[in-house]
Amino acid sequence: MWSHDNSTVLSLICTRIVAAAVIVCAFFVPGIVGYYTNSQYNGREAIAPSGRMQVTAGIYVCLLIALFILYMLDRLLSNIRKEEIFIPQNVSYLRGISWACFAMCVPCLLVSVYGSQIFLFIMVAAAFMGLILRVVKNVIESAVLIKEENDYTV
Amino acid sequence: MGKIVVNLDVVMAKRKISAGALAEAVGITPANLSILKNNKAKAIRFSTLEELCRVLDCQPGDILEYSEEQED
Repeated sequence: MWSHDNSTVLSLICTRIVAAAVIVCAFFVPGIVGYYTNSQYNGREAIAPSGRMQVTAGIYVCLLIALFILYMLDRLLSNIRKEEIFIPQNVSYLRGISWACFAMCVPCLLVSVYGSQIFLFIMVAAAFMGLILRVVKNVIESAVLIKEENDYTV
Repeated sequence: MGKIVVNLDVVMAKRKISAGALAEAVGITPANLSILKNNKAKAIRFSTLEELCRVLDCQPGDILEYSEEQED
């Protein structure tokens, strides 16, 4: 029978798999960038040879931020699994993830200047995700206050 | 800013009633009674206050007091 705990465990496993995938990807970044440096996309170079270094650095920064987000998600899901949902620690994790999404916009913009324009789309998606998470953070923050008041009502 | 102080321990001492006995008579958990006694409570239900007043044979003003002192 499918349960709430199973769902949380599945999310936790997925988070860890994605974290492992991000780490594995990090080893192949120079190779992938090198491959796209010499390829054409819509009649122009996917990555300009002069911007190869900047694109590689930008992608590495993105991967670092992604690892940070996945770590925060892992902690958040662990707390949810322990049924500790409306606690200030979770608000901090959501705030961290939200700011990390906004921070992701900077390297994405850099990469889009020197490389593929698809990173502009990723930048907008990251900013939008950051905004949504900020709203979720505000909701959880209010819920923490309500829970605290409820817990201390005799 | 002032705060509401709960003088439950004073009334309990006057009535010579233990925390466990009061909690059982009022119908709240000892943990919640401890929250109330230690001034950690954020709010008190009228039903709880009514029961406290009935068991301790006192008025709400005997249990609750407004103090001008700063909050912790």
